[in-house]
Amino acid sequence: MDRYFGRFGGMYAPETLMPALLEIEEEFCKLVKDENFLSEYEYYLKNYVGRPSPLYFAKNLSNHLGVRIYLKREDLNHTGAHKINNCIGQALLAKHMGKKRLIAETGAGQHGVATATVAALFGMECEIFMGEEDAKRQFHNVQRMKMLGSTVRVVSKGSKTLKDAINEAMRDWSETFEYTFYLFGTAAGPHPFPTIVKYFQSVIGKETKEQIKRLEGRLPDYIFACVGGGSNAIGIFSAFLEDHEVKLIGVEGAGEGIHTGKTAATLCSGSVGILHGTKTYILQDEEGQIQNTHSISAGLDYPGVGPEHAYLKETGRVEYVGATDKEAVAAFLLLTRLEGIIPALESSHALAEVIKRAKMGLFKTSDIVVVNLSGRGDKDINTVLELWKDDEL
Amino acid sequence: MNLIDERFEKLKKEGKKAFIGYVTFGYPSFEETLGFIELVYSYVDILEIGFPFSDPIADGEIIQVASRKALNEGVKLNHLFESIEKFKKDKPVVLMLYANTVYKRGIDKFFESCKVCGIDGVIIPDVSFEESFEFKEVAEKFGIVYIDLVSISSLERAKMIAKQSKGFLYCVSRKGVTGFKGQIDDRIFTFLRELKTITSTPLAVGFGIKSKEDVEKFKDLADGIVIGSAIITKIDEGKDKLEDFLKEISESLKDK
Repeated sequence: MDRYFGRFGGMYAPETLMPALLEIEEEFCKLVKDENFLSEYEYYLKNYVGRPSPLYFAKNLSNHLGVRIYLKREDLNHTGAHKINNCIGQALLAKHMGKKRLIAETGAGQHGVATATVAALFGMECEIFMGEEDAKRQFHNVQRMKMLGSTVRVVSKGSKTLKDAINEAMRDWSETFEYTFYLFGTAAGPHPFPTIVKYFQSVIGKETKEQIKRLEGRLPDYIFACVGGGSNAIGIFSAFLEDHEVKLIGVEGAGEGIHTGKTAATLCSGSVGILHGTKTYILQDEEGQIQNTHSISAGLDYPGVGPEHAYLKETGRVEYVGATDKEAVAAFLLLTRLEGIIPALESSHALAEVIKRAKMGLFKTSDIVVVNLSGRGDKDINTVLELWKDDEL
Repeated sequence: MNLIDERFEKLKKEGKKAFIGYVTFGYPSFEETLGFIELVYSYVDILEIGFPFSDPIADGEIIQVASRKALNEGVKLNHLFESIEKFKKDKPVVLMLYANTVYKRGIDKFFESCKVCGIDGVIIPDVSFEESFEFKEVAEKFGIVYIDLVSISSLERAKMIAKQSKGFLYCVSRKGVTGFKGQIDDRIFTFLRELKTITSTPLAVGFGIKSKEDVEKFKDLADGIVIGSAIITKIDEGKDKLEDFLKEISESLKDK
């Protein structure tokens, strides 16, 4: 199994963790060829997650913006986001490996909730690492994880966000890997996680391809997806990478602006480095220290990005742009009012880029645009409400 | 022959074991750090200087806190290079730092600076054996010893790494990160015995060694002992306490 995407990726991990990573790689390679495992995974996707998720034609938004817009409804999955696809897959992998305990990191809480959910489903012990700032922002998700029977370990070190939660989870794992499986939440981290997460999220792209062909008789002109670590984006892009007529756009959390220093737009304003086990784009200072990030969306607030995205940027196959906090909130409200769908703030960034391009007249009326609506926005209502009151957006 | 090999040869002839002491550069403050480093250097056989990183995943609580404090003091890699030139004598100095610090500086430029200021060896704890070759090639070009780590979590991998190790082989005595949590895992003793049969590279044991009693347990099996978090804790207690501790460890390692 190739551990690199071009010059990106790799296994930059402490020696203590290497046996654990190699064991996962070996088991994963075996299981993806095992019909019983695959049918078990598909059973849970269909009957527990609720797949396939619809590809919904957003008529009102399309009329408003003058372009045909489809939403891939990952928000309708059980637990409310695409994260559950990966969690079901990795939890089954953990179960096959005989691990009794799951650990995971979470930013917005969606991955934490999804991990806690599969732990409950498969009767495994579970501990979720979450930065103190994120735990405050996502109080209800913290409560959900606890109700599901997981322990939430609030990390008060460093910037108190996702990267510090990952640091702590890795430290825990290096002591406990004999009985613990680290259920990594995004297509980042050391090999084999970027490949495993892509594999389990590629269902989004496969379904989208079939659905759009059925609905429109052809492939879309554009696919937009938000990029934090990049799991929903790589999931939907994966089926279209060879279809060069389909333009793929990844939208990062630009925070207050790409060049303001208060941003999480790693691919737009970062540089190549090594963080959390992988060589990729990261936000760092001139000494290689990791910078604090800012995004209104906890799920995008990460100073790194999956290594395959770094590769897709370098090869030019995917265009990466940033949407600001304000643009994301405006997109959140617009979709809510026009379609009665409350999107996650993460997904709102992808929508914001569509709105921006439509307003600039960059689409033809015949263009077909797909937006990966990676999650639902119930968790973000308090965050939006604060801005709504202040700025009357 | 480089200084690390020379030192181990000398100790071997004398029937002694190496005391490898770790200090975080920039701790406890920008002004005081050099004083503490020089004090530790005067007692140890090999000095290990840690350059702080914002996200030190291989380190436990004590070194994490020290690293954060040092970064808040504003320490830069160039400060470290300049400092080494000031105190370096005939004892080896090994630099421990994270991969991104090396990568960001530029691997070539980094090892060239190490050579210029007198660093003898480099340890990068978040670089696996598989990813180490891009660093090793350049280190060798500049005559810097690249020190590999092995862990009790896999004897099989440790044997593979030991076969081509240089300077000394850093044997991680327990699963997990640096620091005091938990007890020394008894498997380390079999592990060291096995490694002895396949490599002549000196074996240094570290992670979680905090006292004279711990040191005694390894004296017959290891060629060196690495002490890190315990030294940082003694720095917090002041120079006198630190000196007493260094004396005690140093003497216990010199006893035959």
